[in-house]
Amino acid sequence: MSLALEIARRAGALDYETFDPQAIKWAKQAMADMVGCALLGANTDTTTMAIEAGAFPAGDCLVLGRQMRLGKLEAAFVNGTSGHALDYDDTSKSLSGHPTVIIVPGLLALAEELGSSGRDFVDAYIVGVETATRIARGVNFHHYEKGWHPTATLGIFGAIAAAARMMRLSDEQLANALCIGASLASGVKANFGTPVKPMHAGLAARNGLFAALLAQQGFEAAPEALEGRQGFLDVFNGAGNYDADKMLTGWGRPLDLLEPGISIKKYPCVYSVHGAIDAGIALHGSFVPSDIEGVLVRMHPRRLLPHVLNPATSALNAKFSLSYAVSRALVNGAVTLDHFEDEALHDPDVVRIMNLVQMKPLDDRSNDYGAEVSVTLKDGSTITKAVAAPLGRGPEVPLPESMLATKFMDCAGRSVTRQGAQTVFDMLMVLETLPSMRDLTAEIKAGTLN
Amino acid sequence: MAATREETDKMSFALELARRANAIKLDSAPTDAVRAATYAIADTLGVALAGSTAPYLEGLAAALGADGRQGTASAIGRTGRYSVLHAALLNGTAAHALDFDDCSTVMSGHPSAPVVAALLALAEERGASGAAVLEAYLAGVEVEMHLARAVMPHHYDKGWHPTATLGVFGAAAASARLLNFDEGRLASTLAVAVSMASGIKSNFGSPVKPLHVGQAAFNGVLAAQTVAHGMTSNLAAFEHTYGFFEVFNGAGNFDAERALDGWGHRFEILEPGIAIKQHPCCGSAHSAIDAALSIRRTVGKVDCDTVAAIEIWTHERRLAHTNRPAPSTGLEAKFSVQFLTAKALLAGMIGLRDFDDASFMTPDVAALLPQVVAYPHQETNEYLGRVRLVLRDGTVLEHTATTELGRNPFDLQASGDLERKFLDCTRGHLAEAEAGQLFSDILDVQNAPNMLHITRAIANQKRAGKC
Repeated sequence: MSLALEIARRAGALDYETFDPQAIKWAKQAMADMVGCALLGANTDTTTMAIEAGAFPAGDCLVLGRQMRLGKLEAAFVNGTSGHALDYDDTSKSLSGHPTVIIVPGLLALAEELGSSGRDFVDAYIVGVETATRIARGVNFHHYEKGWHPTATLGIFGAIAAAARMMRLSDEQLANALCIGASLASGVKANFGTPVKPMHAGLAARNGLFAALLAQQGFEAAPEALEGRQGFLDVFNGAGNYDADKMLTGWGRPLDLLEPGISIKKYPCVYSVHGAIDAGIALHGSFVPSDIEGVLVRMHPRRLLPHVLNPATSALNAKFSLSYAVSRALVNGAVTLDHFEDEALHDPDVVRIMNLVQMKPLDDRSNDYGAEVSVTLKDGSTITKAVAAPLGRGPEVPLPESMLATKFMDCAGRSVTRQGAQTVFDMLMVLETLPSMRDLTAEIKAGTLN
Repeated sequence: MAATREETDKMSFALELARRANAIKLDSAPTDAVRAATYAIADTLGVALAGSTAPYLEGLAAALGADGRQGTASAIGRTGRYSVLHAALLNGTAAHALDFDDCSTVMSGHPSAPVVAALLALAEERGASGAAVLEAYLAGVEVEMHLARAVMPHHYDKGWHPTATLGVFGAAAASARLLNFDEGRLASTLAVAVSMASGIKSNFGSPVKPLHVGQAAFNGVLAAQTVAHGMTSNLAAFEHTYGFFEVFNGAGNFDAERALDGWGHRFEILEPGIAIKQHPCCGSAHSAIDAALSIRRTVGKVDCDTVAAIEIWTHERRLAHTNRPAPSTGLEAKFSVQFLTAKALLAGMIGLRDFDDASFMTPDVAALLPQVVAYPHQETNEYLGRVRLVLRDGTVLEHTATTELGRNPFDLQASGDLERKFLDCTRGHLAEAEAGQLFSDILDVQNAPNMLHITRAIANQKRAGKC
């Protein structure tokens, strides 16, 4: 049996009835998060560029955050690009990349066409994540280290499996679609730091859906395009740098969504400072900011990289500044998108505290993403808060729904009315009960500002 | 123009390449380069029209949602209007559907298909002149073939499909030229295309192979159009640790400098040039076919009853997959050196319609086949083929030919075979007079104020009214 068919059989055998409720919860959170990110990204120059460059004909599928409908593939391309435009979407350890932004855009376009239910949507999403991450286990981390952008080059297989599930393709058709996908995978890390990176996500979302639609049409690929001579494994990783068996074990026991799980970013800045922000927010309210006389942040030495040690001087480097992020958390009890816009960087309270922040390595080296923040007040007292891992980072520390809602409103509020954003969020939290995904996109469109 | 290694290390490779590609001007290009480009474009369009009826193209159009109802471009062999991107994708797939498009040994692939597919779609929307298209074509082909010098043969041996993975840069550069980009934006376009290059050889033998070419054309146009709307990319995307050379070829398996050498005074399209495929069948049999055609030109018509024996010698590596004394399907006939040699002697050409399952075995060929024997040779030239025709009256005619992938476009045009191939390819799509007119219009493309007369003629009016 070809590797693609082995994979397809496993994807096909996944059964919604057997999914752990926690996995369904994570799926909904991840998808809600991605929709929020796309509604945020909808207004970026990157998304405008993707729309204008394509000169796409009109169609039936919603472009998130715009009063615009395009064809399935084109909507997937634009929504994938906007979902990743600010690099604020979720991450998967197995994938070494962003799983949801590649899967949801194609699914959303298909669901609008087919009138699929919310339950089918969640089901297809979980199948997509499981497929992408199981394939990733066989090729990472060499694949990533070599220079591929796995969000795109592996994420495409998740998009294919998800779309195939929603279209109810057979295992054989899915296998064929995966083999078509092997010839469409692209994206290298050299273009990180440019708007081409989010476009990788758009292209992979589009190409994944395209491969599934081609397979549905009976367009045939070579059955051994993954494992065969000059196939995906051979060409993208090279002999000795992959383990196909790893792709075939452990499916659904438990789902990769639960082990090792995915991480949802809560703050629009570099991940390594998120634990310190959590600690800062926990401390917020215990004092008035003007009483602060000293701040000491301890993190794992691996997180104390040169780029986080500098105070913020621009909107861009503020996203990497530990002292800025912690000061914001202490002063505002939140770190939101507004805080990274130019005028916010001159907030006198924050600037004063930012210059007080000192950084030291944590003594406990076992804790990768842990952080500890100690604040010294005018009266000489010190308050300390330690966090073991930032909330939202993996299954042990699930994100409280309220925090996800805060982020969603912050993001979606950029292109949807507040009321609209709240309605959409509520729908996303009970996605598996929605009779038709068209209800969701109709609600998004109705709330869209421009 | 050639920079020293030290200078280029500091420069962006994409910018260096763009500078060279932008320096290509129709006015200063050698006349022969322009002629070769014209012949190649004519050949590609003919082959694409023939390929446009490949059955899987309907499924492709359906998957794309390309229903012909909206857009600014027409697509080869199709009715209706398409977006430029859809037209590029459909054109590129059609152009390579029959594997009958031109070849380059430097590229180990097909230089014209991705470039022409992209240009035809874009030129219509832009109202570009024929001269602009030719200039953009030359730039595109030079870019992909020079890049090939930097990454071949490792790139091909490793499993990439260069027609796609290098063709995307040809399509991108040509599109950028048609959009009149300065060298900075042309460089950005190439750097965007680094992130789009795809296509692996494990999918050879399936329709995904021509789809690679469609995708390359699509991506080339998309790269240029994103840059036209403000996209920025890493100008070091080729030479970066995680860039094209390192990721696609790997350290030690490329020489970037070679892609930057030899511009200005030498055109790849002339030296070593491109080869136009003359026969719509396996390339390993082309030498024997050409030898047989020479014999036929000497003797005129061959009558089955007068033939005592036909002996063929081709290289053992070429004969291995073409030794089929009694083919039973049209596809097998394409891979039968015995069938192809007999057909060439009897009919004087190998045509696209000689391989229908129901009718490929004509009575005259069937009568001749028992007399045909093929032998392997082990000479240095793998593409050498010899045919000996022995007649019952004792006459012996022998000819040797060597055909690597195809013939050079100038010979083909001079002998009339370029037009014959074009007419064969367009039969069933266009009346012979229309086809002849289109062929001469394409040969005169340099003087055309726009491409509309060509794009309209090559779109299919007969399949109208579907929507």
